[in-house]
Amino acid sequence: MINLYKPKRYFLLFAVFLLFLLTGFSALFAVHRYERSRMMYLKSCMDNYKNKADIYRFIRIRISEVSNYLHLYIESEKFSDMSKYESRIFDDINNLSDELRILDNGGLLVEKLPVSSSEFDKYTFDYSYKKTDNKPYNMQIIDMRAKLEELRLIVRSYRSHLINRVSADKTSDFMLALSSDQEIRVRTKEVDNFFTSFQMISNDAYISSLSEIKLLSDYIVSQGKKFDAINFYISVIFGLLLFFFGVWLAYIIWNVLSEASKAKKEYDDLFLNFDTRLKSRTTELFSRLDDIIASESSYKDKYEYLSKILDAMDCAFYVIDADTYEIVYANRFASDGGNIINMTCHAVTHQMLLPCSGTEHPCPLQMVKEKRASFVVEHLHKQPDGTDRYYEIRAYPIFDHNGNVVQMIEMSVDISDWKKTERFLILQQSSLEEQVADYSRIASEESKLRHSAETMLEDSERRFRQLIENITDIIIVMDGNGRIKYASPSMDIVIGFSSEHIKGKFFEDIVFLTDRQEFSAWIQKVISGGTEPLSGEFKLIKRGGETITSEIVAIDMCDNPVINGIILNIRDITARKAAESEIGKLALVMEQSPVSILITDRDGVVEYANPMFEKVTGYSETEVLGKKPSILKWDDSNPQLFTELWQTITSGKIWQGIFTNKKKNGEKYIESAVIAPIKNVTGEIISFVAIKEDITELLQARKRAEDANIAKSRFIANISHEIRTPLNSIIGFSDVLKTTELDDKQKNYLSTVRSSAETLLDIFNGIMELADIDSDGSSIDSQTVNIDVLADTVNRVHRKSAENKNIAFLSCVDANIPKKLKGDSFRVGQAVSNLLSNAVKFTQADGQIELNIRKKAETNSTVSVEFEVKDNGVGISPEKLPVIFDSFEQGDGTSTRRFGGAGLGLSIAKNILKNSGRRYRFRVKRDTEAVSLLL
Amino acid sequence: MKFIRLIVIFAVFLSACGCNPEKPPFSSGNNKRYILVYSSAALSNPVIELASEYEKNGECAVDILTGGSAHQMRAIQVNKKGDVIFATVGDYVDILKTQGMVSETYELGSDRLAYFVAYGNPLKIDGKLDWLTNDRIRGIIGSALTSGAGEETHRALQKAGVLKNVFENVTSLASDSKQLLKAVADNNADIAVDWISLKYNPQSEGTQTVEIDSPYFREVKVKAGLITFSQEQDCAKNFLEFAASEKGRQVFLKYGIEK
Repeated sequence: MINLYKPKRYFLLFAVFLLFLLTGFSALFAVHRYERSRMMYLKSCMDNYKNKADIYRFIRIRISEVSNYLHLYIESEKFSDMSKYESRIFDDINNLSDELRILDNGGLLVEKLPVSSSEFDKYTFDYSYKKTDNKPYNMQIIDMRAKLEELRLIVRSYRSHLINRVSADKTSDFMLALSSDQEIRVRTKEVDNFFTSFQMISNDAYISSLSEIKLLSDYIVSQGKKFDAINFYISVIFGLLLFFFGVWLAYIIWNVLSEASKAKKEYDDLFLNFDTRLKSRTTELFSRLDDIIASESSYKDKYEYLSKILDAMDCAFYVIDADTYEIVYANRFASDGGNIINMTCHAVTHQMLLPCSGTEHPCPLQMVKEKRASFVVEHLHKQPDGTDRYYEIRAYPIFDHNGNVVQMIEMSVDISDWKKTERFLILQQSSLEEQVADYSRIASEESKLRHSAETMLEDSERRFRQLIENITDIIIVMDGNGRIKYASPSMDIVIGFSSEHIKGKFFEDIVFLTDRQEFSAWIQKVISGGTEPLSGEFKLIKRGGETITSEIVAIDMCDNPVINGIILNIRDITARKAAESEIGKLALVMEQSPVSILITDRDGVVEYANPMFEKVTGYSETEVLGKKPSILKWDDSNPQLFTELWQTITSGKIWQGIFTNKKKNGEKYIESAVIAPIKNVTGEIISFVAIKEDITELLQARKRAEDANIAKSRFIANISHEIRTPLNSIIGFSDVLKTTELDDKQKNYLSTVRSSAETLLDIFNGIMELADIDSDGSSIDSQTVNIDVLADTVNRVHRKSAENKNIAFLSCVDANIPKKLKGDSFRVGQAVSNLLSNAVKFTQADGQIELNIRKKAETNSTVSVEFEVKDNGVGISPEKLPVIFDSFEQGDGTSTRRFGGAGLGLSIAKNILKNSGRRYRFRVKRDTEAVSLLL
Repeated sequence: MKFIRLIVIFAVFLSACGCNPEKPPFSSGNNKRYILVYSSAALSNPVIELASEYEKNGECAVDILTGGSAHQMRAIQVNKKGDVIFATVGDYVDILKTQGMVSETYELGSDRLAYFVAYGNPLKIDGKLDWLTNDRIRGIIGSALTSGAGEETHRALQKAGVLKNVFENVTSLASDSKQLLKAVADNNADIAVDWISLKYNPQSEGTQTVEIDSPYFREVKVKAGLITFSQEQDCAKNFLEFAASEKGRQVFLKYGIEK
């Protein structure tokens, strides 16, 4: 609290006020200066971020540009185009490297945009970027640098194949064109994914840089708002401080004055009210005393009234002290004229010194104290005359203010007469219930015994009837004369006669004629044989006339009074007989089989070996029975093979493979084996059968043939590489030399060198192809063939040669040919290419060549395609047609000089088709205008 | 006393107004230490989980660069930056070690290639290699240039003698194993050859694996290595040791990298 009577304090307050003012102005000035510098710096940061985003944008554009150049590079048909696009790609890669370096370390990127055709008239943009973060790496730049390296590798991987393709187009080398096309196609499959991935990284980096710009922009806006808020708050704070300073002083003065006024008012109120309150309290106390006196009088009246009621009751009524058991109050009936007050309850009712106890005579007071609730109990009271009387005692607790039982009210009612009547009635009811229970038990036992006997009898009869009616065997009872007395229902199923119709007929009538005499004799033997059963096999005639072979077991039971006849048990064994016959035939097949057959049980123990097994191995059947086939195992055999074999056959499958085994004399041999599990009708394996063939000589022959083939292929491959490589170099460098400055003579010589090299390469290629086809005749592959791609390749290879000779080249592919077929694209293309090569060679200027590819037929699994090569060149004379497919032959003998070539093209094509089996055919069509070769 | 207190407040206020206006924005994280981890695409999920666990000790923050294993190796060779590499095909880590770019290597488990097909295998594709040359099936394999899965597939198919036919038949070559998986999951391919561990990857939803029935497809060792150019060697080594610890191996095992 400020003491207003001290003037120094006024001066102090004024000084504080001035200090606040000075601080406020200083703060506002400093904040304004800081804000200006900060905003300038943030603007420079924004420029830096924008430059970074621009560089990322250039990178994105450049990646698209490289992608486009790469596709143009892949499609190049000339060396000059290849060189142009390759240099553009590498320029872009170098620019990308520079841009990434600037983004990684900071620096200046100068972008020049041409504004006219003049090389020097360019507008220059400078993009300066300064690295602001301290991180030693930028993940996106690292990723993009690796991508650039991969891009270099991709471009280089294309180079050699593109050179091959362009060379092949120039030299019409179909094989080279096809293989380089395949390589280029495969590489192109990864290019799109590569550039998608590259673009994603660059897009991500560009979007990150845009996000940074947005973030910085938001930051600048938030900084501006923050500075405005600081200015505002400083103004408000100092204004408020001044305001609160004044308010504080006013509050102190007001507080002192209000406290003084309040104290004076309280003193006056206390003095005036004291006397009035004393009088009022005295009056109140007198009033309460009057009420108490009136209440006591009322209680006395009520007590007298209740005493009268209790004395009028005709049962004893007590009030007993809970601690001493003394009777505090007893009505007139209880006291019976005497004074029993202060006597104990047990002394009055039982004439005992101690209270009642036990379960039969529990003390009502003790029970009430224990349960703290009313309680009813029956007591037997001894009367003064010696007789016993039953009393029903009703006891009620009386509680004090603390809830403790202090007294008990007890009422005793004499119930001796009621008890006597109740005992009599209970005895009567018990006697009656026992009699009724005895009668019920006897009746129930008799009923169960009868029902059980009936059920057993019915079950037994039903079981026997079902047995007879459901067995497949026929049961017949025949009398001594041979007449049928009874036939089971299976008679209808097996023989075709119903059991009812056959009754009374002679059984001998259904025995086949040839067996009847024998059957009669056999029956006589049964009758004379007594009760011993006899069996026999007889043919029976079915209702439709067919016969079955049956096994009959008969027993004479004529002496049995119930059956009185001969019982025949007939079983159809026709199928069993047929099976036995088949088994006999199979046994002969196994005995005479040209391959070894071995049967083992399910543990692999030999149960049977045929004679061929003995011939191959030297082991007789008796020597191998009971042993395992492992006695034949060659010591160095792979144990894994036998594990697999056992796992295969025990799982129920057939195993097929080749073993190296040894004969009894130790000689090694190789056999091809098929081992199969044999299962019973439930599918359980019961044994295994092995069918084996000695293929030792066959394998040796095949190996000799393969070795010879490999040696031949190796020679062809070596010689091919050694000769083709220098020839291709001669042709390639001839072209390069042609682009340099040469005089006419030199040009002439060069042209001769090139054409000679081409001719030599053509002849050599033909010879090599022919040799290759001869040596690898059967290797027609089955691959996916796209006819459009095949046609494009052969067209591209020969179109240029045709155009150079001013020959029109037309190509038509039937649109109905499915896009994907199975076949050998290389061999088909080679054959077609040879036909086209001949067509170009033998057609003169202004001529025309057609390649028509048509669908001829289609089934569910095959499509027949016809390749027609048609030209209007020199043609083929009819007498030459039979020999044009021979090696080193041409349609016109003289044309060898005029047109060149070794005469191998058609021979190669024919051999390709010959090796393809029935899949490819070749025919020659000749009309007046043109010769068509149809494939 | 009150007067002195006011003087102090005034001085503090003036000094606050004079702070550096050229302090870079967002520079609060500049003092933080970072390590760069290269992870092949197939290992990205376990490596992310390990990194988030490792970052809890507050030692260093972990940046993860994912992509094909071959691409990651090339990124290290070209940039000469980074701290740790995790590669599904551990051979790449060994190559970097022979080139002196990796100092220590850790073996984390093994993985192998399998077919990934649409869930429920509607085309009933089994483990035979013929499916890759079947022209009715849209196949995809990895690029040997960028992807470890791609190079391993090429190696095995080359040995099996069917690489050329497979090349002709597949629709495209993917940059990394995630791209392979996505092609099947998005129904852009019927069959892909990819790491079997990826079946535990959430992106494999809608696909299922079929074991390849060919002896040429081998188990490859998954390895990690400490890059010699690392500027935070202690953090990088601690992170590698954490990844190679029993707890780390449990994480890899959870994502199908078997011990």
